[in-house]
Amino acid sequence: MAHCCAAIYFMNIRGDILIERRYRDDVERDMAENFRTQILNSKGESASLQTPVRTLGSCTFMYLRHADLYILMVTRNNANVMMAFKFMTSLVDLLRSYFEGALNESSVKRNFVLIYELLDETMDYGFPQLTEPAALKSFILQKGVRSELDAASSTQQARNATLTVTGAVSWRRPGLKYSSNEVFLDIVEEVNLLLSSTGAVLRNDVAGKVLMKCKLSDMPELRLGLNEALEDVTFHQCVNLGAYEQSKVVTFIPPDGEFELMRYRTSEGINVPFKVIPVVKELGRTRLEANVSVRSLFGAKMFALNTVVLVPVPDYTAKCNIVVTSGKAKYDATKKAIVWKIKRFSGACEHNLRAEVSMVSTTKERKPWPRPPISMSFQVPMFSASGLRVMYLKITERRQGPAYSVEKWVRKVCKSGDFQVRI
Amino acid sequence: MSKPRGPTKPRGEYAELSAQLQGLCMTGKRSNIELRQAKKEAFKKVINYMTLGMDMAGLFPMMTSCANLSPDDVVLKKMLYLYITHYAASTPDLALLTINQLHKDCQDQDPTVRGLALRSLCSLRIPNLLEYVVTPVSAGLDDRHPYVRRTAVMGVLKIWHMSPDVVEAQGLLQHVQQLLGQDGDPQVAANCLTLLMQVQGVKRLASNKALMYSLINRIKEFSDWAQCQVLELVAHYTPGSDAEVYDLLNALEDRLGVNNSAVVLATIKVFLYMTLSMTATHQQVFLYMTLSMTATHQQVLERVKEQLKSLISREDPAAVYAVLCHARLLVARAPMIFEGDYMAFYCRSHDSWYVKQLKMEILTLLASASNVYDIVGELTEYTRDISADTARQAVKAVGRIALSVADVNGIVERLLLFLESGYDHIVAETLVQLKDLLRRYPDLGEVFSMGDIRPSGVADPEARAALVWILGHFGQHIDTAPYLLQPLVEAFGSEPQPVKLALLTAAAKLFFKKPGESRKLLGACLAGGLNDSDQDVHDRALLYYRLLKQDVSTAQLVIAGDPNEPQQAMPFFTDELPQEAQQAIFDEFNTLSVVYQQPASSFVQSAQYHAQHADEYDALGEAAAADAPGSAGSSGAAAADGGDALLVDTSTNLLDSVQQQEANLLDLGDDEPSSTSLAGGAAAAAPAAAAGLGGLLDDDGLGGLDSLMGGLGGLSGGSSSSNGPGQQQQQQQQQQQQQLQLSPGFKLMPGVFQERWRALAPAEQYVDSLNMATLAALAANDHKDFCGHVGQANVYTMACGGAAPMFKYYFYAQDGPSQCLFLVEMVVATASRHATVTIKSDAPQPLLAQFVAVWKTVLLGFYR
Repeated sequence: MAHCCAAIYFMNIRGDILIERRYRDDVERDMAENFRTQILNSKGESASLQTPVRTLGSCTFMYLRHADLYILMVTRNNANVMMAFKFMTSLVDLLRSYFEGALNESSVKRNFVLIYELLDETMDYGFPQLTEPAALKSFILQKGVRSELDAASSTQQARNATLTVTGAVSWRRPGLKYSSNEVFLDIVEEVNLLLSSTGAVLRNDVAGKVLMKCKLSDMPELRLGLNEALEDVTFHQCVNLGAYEQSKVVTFIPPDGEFELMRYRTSEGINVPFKVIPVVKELGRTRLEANVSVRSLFGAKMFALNTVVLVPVPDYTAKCNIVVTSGKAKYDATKKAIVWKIKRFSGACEHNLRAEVSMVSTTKERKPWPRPPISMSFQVPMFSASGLRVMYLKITERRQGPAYSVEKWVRKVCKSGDFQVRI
Repeated sequence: MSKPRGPTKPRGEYAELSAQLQGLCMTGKRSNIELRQAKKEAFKKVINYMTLGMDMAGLFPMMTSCANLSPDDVVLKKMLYLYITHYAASTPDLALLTINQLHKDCQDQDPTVRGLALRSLCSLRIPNLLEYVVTPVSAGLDDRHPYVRRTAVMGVLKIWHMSPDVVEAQGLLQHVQQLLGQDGDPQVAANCLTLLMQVQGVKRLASNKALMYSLINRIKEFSDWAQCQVLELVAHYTPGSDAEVYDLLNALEDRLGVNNSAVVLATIKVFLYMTLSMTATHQQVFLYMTLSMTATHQQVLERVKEQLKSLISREDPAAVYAVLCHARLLVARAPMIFEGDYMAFYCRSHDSWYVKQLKMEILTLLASASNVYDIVGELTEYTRDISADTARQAVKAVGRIALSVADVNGIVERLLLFLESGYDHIVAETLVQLKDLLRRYPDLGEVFSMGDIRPSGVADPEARAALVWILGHFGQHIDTAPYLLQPLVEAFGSEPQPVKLALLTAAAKLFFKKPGESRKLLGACLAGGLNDSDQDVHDRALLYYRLLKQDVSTAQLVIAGDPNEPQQAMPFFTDELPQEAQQAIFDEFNTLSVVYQQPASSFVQSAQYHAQHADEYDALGEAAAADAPGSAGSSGAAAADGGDALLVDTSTNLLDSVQQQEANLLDLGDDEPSSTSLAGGAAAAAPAAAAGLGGLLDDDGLGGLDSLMGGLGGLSGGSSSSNGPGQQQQQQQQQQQQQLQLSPGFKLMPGVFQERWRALAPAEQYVDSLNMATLAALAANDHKDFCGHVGQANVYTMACGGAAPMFKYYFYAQDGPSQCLFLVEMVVATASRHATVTIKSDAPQPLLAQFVAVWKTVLLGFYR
């Protein structure tokens, strides 16, 4: 059935209960204790082998980890597992927005009363109710542990706010006022690439999202025009999906503050920012030679930040002689790799790394080196791997009409996702 | 109230808090704001200790009066009510004291307070207090503020769980039903829907077409969570016509593009369910499998596939896990739909372990002739993973693929290459997989070489047992087998149980193959086994010992099978879920069942807390009513304890248990007698026999056993004489071969069918003409009647179905004595009413003629 859980717990990494909210009678506190002793701290299997859904007896535990916290849902019924996980992530988002990003053991301990309040509103009897931060913030007022001296004055405000909580535009409350209207739009893309040792593309796709921060008065309607029709795309609930189907224009009344407008994914027509050509030769049993050249494929006016190339070397490496044409490179024994860092990688240019690796010679028979892939991480501002561009962002407010003026900021950044080259 | 109540002595934090709260009940010299602040701090402490699990129930009176003295502070109220609902069940008489205050708050002018009070009131969960709850809830349903109304609706659900009768008697359900139709607030309507789905059952509610349509029309007003509820309802609706299905799909299509994956999955469920039962059936018959689904369902699957791929690539690991579980189910149902998209299930290096594991499972299911080499190539990359578990999983996936795909040569070579990888964990898993593979394809045993792997060098017990099994079973091809086993036998006592069992069997098998070299080995094994403390090991050793003592050739038949017969191939492994179980899980799409791969009935203990189907409603109601008084405290706890005692970890053990089962099935050939015949009487005699053997062995090492074996004249020496009866048997067999005997219950893997069908030339082909009645009879009941009819003659169906203008059928049968296969294709053109039958077989002519005769008789029996 479509309910999620009978109880929610917050635990620290040791499994101590920080928050306990039971919505139904069919689970006991012991369940959470069992979870700690049998699953979190079980010696039998390492933590990496734990699936996010577990059972003990007839009790199901669904949990996820965030920072140094475990968020755990317990049920005895056949719960809707997808909804449970999605609810937990929504809860994390909600709390993060209350705590300004820092959701961890200490912020939970400091704000447990607030969390109890929120748990009360977001779920009733195991059924999710309202998780929209904007709406909740309007009537759950405790912001962090700030002193409550102004509680009396804000109570009246809260009473007004409650009235809007369940309205049709649940993500925005009316009557917002800003002295100057501003909109920030960020396109953040992650490019995933896997090349075989022969240079063939095994996997290449881009996962992107559009993040917005709105400081806008009243009830503005935004129209965002994009240069291409995306195929695999999902939107925030504020977006009018019918309008998008028809005209491919993203039309919406935005929530106040920060939110994720849309996510998309594409695997065609991708501009890959870098080309990596590795030559790694094992010369006998104790020597290895690696030549890696990295070429930037974006325009000369652009640049990449914090480029890091990890060139794996065998476990028993003794010494590396490394020459690079740019940046710094050194052997990192814990990563079993040569770490090559280039702070600023200009567009349309090529840099090389040449390394001679000598290995410890032993008489023991040695296992063959599995040649793990070279991986690379980077950020390229103003580069779009999918080719997505904002054609226009129009903002209209019905009541104010032409008097409504807005500052608009659009940024783009392309990050590395899983960017690997097999050798 | 000078002394706090409760079981703990007043000391430490408890006493301090108690004193503090009492002090706060008086205003004293503090200003109002200071007092409020101090109260808040004290309450926070109480709640903190409550969270830590300390018993704070005794502070009840102080807490209540403290809060009552500052009635306008909402936060204080919230804390108090949280506290009360936490302890109410354990101290009902105290809860009674707060009822008044709660009632008062239910009439507060602030809707937040009204809602809060109502929610807390319903959460007290004390059946005795129900009478005090019903009135405010009933009033709450008519409240002017939606926040209160939606809380009241959930309140009705809480009451219903305690006592359905009260809900019934007060007419609350009708009230909610009205609200659902009329209320303008989406969340109120959503909660009404939630309640009615629980109480009346989804099926019954879904039959209300008008209601459902009105909800679909306003679905965009609802929150994500409420949308999930609406979609759940729609999924259980039975549409009247195909046109209606299309309308519904069009109306809900945009829900697939929502950001919230819970909504997406709920929509997917609607799409899948809706199209399953469409009337315009279209069956596509593949050569080796019937894909029996409606055309729209197939299109929907294609569409859903894209959505799943998208979810997999963008969600958090835990959510991806849930998505992949659903993908696994769909892939298992229709692998050919996903065949071309295997790349979507490739692992990424950042994926967590459980995601990788599921992806590999799916890749195993997806593998077919068209993509198998790409998949195996990719899996080979994963064997280089830093995590040994992932690497092992990858090897395992390759092994499973080798078992399920027809053309295995390249894959087996790949597996053998793993043996040379030099990594212990990979070698270990490869051995385990090879064991199964050799059971499936015994001929491989003659061609492959084990390299120079010594069992004593394999650390993993399971792998060591597998290697020992291989050495025993294929000992005739491996010259050094007895010497490789020797070190293990010497340390027999220190080996783990599975290795001991494998050693016993292997030594016995080797003894029949190489009696000279293996005599000592077997002796030492039996001696070790008989002295072993493990019951299974002991029993198996004793069984072997007695069998050998009684009659060596019988022992050989039992332990190693008939040496004159070719080795039997294991036709299929029960790796996959049976069809019915899969269907049962599909019926519970978008729930935990899919994760566990088990229907809910197997892991949900009591149905007390939820109504699944309308038809269970009455029974459930009674059950809930009967259990209600105790449910708040003791019975729930008892059930919990009972459940915990089992501590079965289904999520990880499921697969294991399936494999266990499979392993047991496979082992039957080896040790079935040991588990059955020894179960009873032999146990008593066992110690004596052990002592006897021990004595024999003590005399002069292995002399006792040697003399025992000597009496049998050695197998190699006496082979000519012992072959006598064997030859007679063969002659008999040849005679029997002339007589066709189709094996009942024979099963053929689709892959094998495909392979054989391609390899064989048509042996017999003819065309029959059919009349209209026969045509109708063929297609009746989804072709099942016809297949069933053919099945009575021990001719089984590989695939069947299709719609006009073409029906296609594939059948197979096996002649028991000669193991010859018969494959039949029957293509019926409905326009010309002709049936073209093609029979392929590797059987000699006389048998084939008999089979054709049988086949024609079978058809005649069906023709009208």
